[in-house]
Amino acid sequence: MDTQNGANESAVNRRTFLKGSAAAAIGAAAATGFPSIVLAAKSSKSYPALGTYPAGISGDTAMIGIISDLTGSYSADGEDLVKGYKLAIKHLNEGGGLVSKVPTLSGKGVLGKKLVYKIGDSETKANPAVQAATEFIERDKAIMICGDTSSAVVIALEKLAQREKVLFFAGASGSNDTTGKDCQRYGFRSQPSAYMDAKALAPILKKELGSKRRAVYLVPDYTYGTTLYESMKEFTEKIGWTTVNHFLAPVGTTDYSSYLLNIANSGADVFVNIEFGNDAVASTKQAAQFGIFKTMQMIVPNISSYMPDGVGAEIMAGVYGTQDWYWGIAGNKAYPEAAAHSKIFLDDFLKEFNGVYPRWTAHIAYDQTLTWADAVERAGTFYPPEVIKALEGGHKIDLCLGPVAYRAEDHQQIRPVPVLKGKKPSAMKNKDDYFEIVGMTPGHEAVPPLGMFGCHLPGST
Amino acid sequence: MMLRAIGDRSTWRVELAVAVFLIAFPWVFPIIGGYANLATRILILGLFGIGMDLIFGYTGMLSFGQAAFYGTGGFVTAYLLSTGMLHNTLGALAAGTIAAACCGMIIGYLCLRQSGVYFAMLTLAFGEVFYFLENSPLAKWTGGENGLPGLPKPVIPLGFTTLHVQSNLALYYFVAILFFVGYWVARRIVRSPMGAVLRAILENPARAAAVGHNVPKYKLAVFTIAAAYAGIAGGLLGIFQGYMPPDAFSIDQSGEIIIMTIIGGAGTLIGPLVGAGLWSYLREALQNLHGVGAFWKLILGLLFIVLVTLFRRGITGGITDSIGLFRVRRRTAAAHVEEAPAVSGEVQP
Repeated sequence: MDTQNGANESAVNRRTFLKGSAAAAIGAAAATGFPSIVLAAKSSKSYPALGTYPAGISGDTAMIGIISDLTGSYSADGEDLVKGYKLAIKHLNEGGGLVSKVPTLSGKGVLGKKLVYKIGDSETKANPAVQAATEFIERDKAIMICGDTSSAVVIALEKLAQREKVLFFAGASGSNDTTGKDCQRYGFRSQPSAYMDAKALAPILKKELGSKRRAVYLVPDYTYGTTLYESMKEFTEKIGWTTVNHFLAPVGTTDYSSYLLNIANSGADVFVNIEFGNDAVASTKQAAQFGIFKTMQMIVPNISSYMPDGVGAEIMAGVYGTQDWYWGIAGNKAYPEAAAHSKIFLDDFLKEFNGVYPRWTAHIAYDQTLTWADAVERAGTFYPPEVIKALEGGHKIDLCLGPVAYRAEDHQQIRPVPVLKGKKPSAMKNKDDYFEIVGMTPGHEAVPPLGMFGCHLPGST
Repeated sequence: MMLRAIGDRSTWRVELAVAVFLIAFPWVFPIIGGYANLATRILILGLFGIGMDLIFGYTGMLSFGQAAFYGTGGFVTAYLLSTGMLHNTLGALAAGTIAAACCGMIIGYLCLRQSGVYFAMLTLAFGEVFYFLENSPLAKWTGGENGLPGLPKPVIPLGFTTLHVQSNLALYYFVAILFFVGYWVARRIVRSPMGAVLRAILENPARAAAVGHNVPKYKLAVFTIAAAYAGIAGGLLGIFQGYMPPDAFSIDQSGEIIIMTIIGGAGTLIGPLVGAGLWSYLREALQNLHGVGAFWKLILGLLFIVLVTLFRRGITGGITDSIGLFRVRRRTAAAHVEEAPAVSGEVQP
C-alpha cells in the first residue's frame, strides 16, 4: 500500500472519528459513534500480504481481470457483459453515471487508484476461463476478477478466487449452486438464483395461465440447467401444474430435433425452455419449425440477453420469463425505486455504445463493479477480508434496482426479480422493446431460506 | 534418415539442451511477457504432445481421440485427489496414467484393425463417446459439465520427508521434472529397435510386415504408450489448476494437440512443446492486443495455415533442417582441406 494513499485514508477517518466522538459525547448517538471508532482503529492497522494484496495496488493503478465469452455458445451475452464492465470502469475513473449517485465514490478511481482492465476469452468453457483468470492473478496482480456467463464457469472461477484469495464477482450465473453448495467467501453473485426466478415467476404463471397445466422441459445439462429445472418444477407443481418430462441437452448442441420430437409428442401444453445464449436461440427456432408453439405456450425462466433478437419478436410474443434487469424499468413509473437510476444507466449506455441498448448482463457488470468499488471505499482498503466484511455488513447500495445488499451468509444479492412477458411485434415501440414488465417480486420474498442449498462459506484468510 | 538430422553423435547433448531449457524457461519467458503458470501449461501440453508425436510423427497414425485419454487420466487423478482417497500426488498420477493406458490399449485394439482415414474416424468416434460418458452417465464421479474442483496442491512423500509443492515456480519444476523424464523415455523409445520398427511402419507398413515385424502389435504398443502420456498430462492439468475441467475431453482438445504437434514439428518429440508454446503464448498475447478481442481465433487459424505451408515439417523440423544444411556445408568445406569424411546420407534438404 502506498503511503500517500494511507495518509488520505487516515485523514478521512480522523475526521469521522472526531465526528463520532463528538456524537458520543453528546450521548445521543452512540450507535453512529461506535462504528466510526471501529473504522478509525481499522485504518491505522497495516494488513498482511494476501492474494494479490498489496502487490496489485503498489502502483497508481488497480487492475480488474474480466473473463467473458468473446467466442463460444454464450458470446452474445458475453459481449454485452463486457460493455457493462467498460462503462462502469470508465465512470469510476472519470466520474459520471451512477458513480455520482453513490456518496463514497469520487469518480477519480478507487481509493485514489485508477482502474485498468484486461479481458480474457472463456469460450464458454471452464478451462480457458480458469487459464485467463490465473493469468490475471499471477501476471497482472489483478485486485479483483469478474465475469462470465455460464454457471459452470462461474463456479470454477469462484473456487479459483477462494484458493487465490482474490475477490470474484459473478457475471451471469443463475444456478442455485453458485451461492449454494459451491458458495465461496471470495465469490459474490447479484443475479437472481434459479430459485428466485422460479418463485417470482410462479404466481404470475398461475394468474395468467391457470393452475391445470402440463409442462415439459428442455434443460442444458449442467449446474444452471439442472438447478433451474428443479426450482421451476418445485414452484410450478405448487401452483398445481404437472411436470410431464424433461430432456437434458449438452451445452453447444446444434441439432435439437431429437429432443424436440419428444417434446412435441409429450402431451404437454407448456414448453419450458431453460436453454441459454446461442442454445436458447437454436432450440427455439427449431421448436418453431416443429410447430411446437401452435399447441404449446413457451416459458423461458431466465431469458438470455439476446434471445429475442435471435428468435424474433413473433416467437417471443406472449412468452413469460424473468431477467435480471430490463431496460424498460428505466423511467417506468410503476417502479419508482429503480426507475430513475435505471434511466441514468440506460442513457449513458446508449450514448457510450452509439445507441446499442444494454441488456441485463451489462447491468450485472455495471452494478456489481460499482458495488465492489463502494465496498473498497467503505473498508478504506483493498485488503480482501476487509472488503468482504464491508460487503457482508448489510449496507444497501442504491443502483439500477433500488437499494440492494448481499446476504452475508451466502453472498446472494437480495434484489427484486423482474418478471417479463414478450410483446406482440405490433406493440413494440422500438426494435429493442421486446417485453412488458408484468411483475417485480421484492428480493426478500424471492430469496431461498438460508441453508436451503447447502452453502457453508469458507474463511477469508 | 531425415528425422535424425542432429542425431547419433550428440545423444546426451540434446537431453542436456532440453534440461537447460527447462531450468531456464521460467526465468527467460517473462522477457516476452510470459510467466511461470503459462510455462507450466505449455509443458503439460508438450508432454501430451510427446504421445501424439509418437503415434503420429513416428508411426504415422493420426488419432483424433487423444482427448479421451487426456480426460481419463485427468479425471481419475482428480477424483482420487479431490475425494481424499489418495493424498500422494504421484500415486494418483500413476493411477490416472495407468487408467489412461488401459483405455488406450482397449481402444487401440478396436481401432487399429483399420488404418488411414478409417482409423482416424474411429478414434474420433471413441473420443466423442468418452466425452459423452464423462458428461452424462459418469457425471456422478466426474461432475459432468461442472468438472471436478478442489484438488489440493501436490504432496509428495519421499520416505524421509514430504514435499509440499506450493508456489507457482515449484509447481513448474515439478511438472518440468516429469516432462524431462517423459521426454527422456520417449527418446529412448524412438532410438531403440522398437523406434526403428515404428519408422519402418511409418514409411511402409507392408514392407515392415514383410520383413517379419508384427505391425499390429507394435502399433498397439505405441498407441498405449501415447495414451499413457496423455493420461499423465491430464492428471497434471488437474493438479496444476486445482480444477479438472470437462473440456479436457472435448474434440477441440484433440484437435488442438494435433495442431500443436504439426505447427511445432511432428517426428521431433520436442516439436509439440514448441507448438504448444507458440499457440498458448499467442493465444494470450492476441487476446490482449487492442482491437483483436474475439478475432484471436481467426488470427491463430491464419497463422496455422501459413506455418503449415512454409514449414512442411513444422518449426522444429524447419530449424533442424537448416542446422543440418549448415553442417553439411561446413563438413563439405572442411573436406576440401582434409581427407573427405563420409558425409552420412541422412541429411537431406
